[in-house]
Amino acid sequence: MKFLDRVNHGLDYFLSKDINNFIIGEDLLDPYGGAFKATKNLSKKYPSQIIGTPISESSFVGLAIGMTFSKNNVVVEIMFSDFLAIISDMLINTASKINLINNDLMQGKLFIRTPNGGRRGYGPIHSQSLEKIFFGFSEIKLISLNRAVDPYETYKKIFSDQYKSKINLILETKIDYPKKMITDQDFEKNGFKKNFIEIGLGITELYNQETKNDKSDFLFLCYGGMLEETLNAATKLFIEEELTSKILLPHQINPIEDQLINEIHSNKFDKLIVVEENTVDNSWGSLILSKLLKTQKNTNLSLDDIILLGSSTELISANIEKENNNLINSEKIFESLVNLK
Amino acid sequence: MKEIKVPSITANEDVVKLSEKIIIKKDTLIKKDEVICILESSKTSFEFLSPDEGYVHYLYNEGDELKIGETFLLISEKQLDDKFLTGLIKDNKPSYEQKISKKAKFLLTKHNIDINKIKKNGIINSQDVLAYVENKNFTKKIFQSNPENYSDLETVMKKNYKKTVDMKDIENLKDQLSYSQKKYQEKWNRFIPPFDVLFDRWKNAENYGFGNNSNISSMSYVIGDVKIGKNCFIGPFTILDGSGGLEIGDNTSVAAGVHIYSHDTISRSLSGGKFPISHSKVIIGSNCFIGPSAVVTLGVKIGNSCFIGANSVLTFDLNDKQAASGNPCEIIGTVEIGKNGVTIKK
Repeated sequence: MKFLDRVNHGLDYFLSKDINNFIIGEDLLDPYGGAFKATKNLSKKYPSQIIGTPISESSFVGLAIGMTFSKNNVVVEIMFSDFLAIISDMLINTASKINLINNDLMQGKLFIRTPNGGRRGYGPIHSQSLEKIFFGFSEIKLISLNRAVDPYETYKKIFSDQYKSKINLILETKIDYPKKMITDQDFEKNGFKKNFIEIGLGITELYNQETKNDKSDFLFLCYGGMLEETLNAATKLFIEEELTSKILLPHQINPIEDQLINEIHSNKFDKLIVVEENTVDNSWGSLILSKLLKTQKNTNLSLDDIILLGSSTELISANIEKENNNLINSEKIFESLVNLK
Repeated sequence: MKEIKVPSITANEDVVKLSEKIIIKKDTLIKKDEVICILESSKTSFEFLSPDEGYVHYLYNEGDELKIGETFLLISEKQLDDKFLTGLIKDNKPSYEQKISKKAKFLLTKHNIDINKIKKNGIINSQDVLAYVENKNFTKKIFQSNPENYSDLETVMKKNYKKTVDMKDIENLKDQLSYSQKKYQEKWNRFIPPFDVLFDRWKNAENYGFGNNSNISSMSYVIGDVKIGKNCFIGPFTILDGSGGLEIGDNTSVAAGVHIYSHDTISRSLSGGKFPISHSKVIIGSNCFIGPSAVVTLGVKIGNSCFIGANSVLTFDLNDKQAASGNPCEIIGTVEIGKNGVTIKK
């Protein structure tokens, strides 16, 4: 069961649900089926519901926002998340304001989905993680899919009538597409057990078999494609030094839900580690940190116990080896932590 | 025969997918530059053309991931035998590798333990190895222990007690109990339930405060104030009810399944709770024999050297050397202790 196939299945479900559901974006039509094949075979199956667009992200996101005025639900594929910068005006200045200014003008929902992150050697403007642009805008819900939870199931929740958020930005890590979902057995081979906390879109909890109820050395917080790097680092920390870890992996990364902060406070650990592919400054980690600072009076958590890990601020190279130097990875996470204990 | 390797179809990708095989009929010779399969990267599809004329043999299945540079096709001048190809067809399922922590590896070497002896679905850590060593020593200790002293097992079990129990612990416990049962059988020619193997009968009696050299099965219920003298035998499945007081002298045998009650709930039950539970002390003398499954009711006083037959329900007192049996119970004679043996004289 590959991640990409499950995304494709989720989009198929979306189109089958209502004739007024649309997917728009560049190169989506068959036989190409999208740059990463997420919409493969869908234009054959739902020819009137998939709209191919010219290379003009801002315009077609504007079109999608307009379509929601007439009760249409629209999924927009942005070919690379680097182009989120182009559509940020549409999302921040238009979509997130329009309902407040014009009395719930958006009758339908907007779902922007985009392949995110690097590790493919695509260079400086096709490898970034720019979701930080939208942190702090409470009307824009940021969701990051991961390989621990079937994206089809997550998309079913997102596309359900019960899900009320009007403006949604969904990150799919591009290197996850060809990979298989990580099963419970896969986690167990690495010494981890999985638990899914049913809060909102859900938080995945992974913990060393030895530490379910005890204190762990590290509590990791990460999302999306960082799962693999964090899991590898946590596994290595256990193999090398028998240092135990718990990983919290939320689907919703903005706004940060109170339940996620409560989960952090309810766990026993020595160090809290926030890992993201973003650069560390002005990051998800800093957003988490600000939330924790507001609530830390109830806990013994000290700033010395919190470590934010992310990528370098240097230009991401198109050379795969140099790119590896730019981006955070499991080795860097391991090296940052192994000598702390 | 030519080995065809997986080409790099986009920069920086080390794997591609065998998206589709173009099935070519058996015994059909394909020409150079004919499409023979479709490879897919994360961003593009690629029609792979035959680099030569010949017969095509796929080594992977559709949907498999192929590493750049590995052989995935054979093109031969002649059709190849199926048996020959069978050995070449690749299985790209990942092989399972047991992960072991460094500390665990160190301990495995130190204690000269074969890793395959430790089964775990996860990473084997130092605690797993130490538990194995402790368990091995435990088993060794049991093997070396004096089978007469079964309480040793209890002591070691207590030491090995862990908060969490997994199936491995249970399997180990079962093995150890089975072993002890065998040793017990060798010693006494009895195969008995694990409880009586686990807990030494004489130790039980000592724990209850019974007299010297008395013994009692672990399969007995001892309730309330029970006083038992020395050299007594209390068999399995017995109930010794001392809630109203129970005293047994020396050298008395209480056979399997005997119930001795110093209380009853007859009045309370029949009156719908109007009357309380009845209590009355039972006193049994020395040198008595109470047969299997007999019942002695509350308040009964039994003298010395008395005999009570199997399945009797004794509701009245017996003087010294009286024999009683049956339900309803009757005096059947007196106990005669002669030079050559013991008889019941009617």
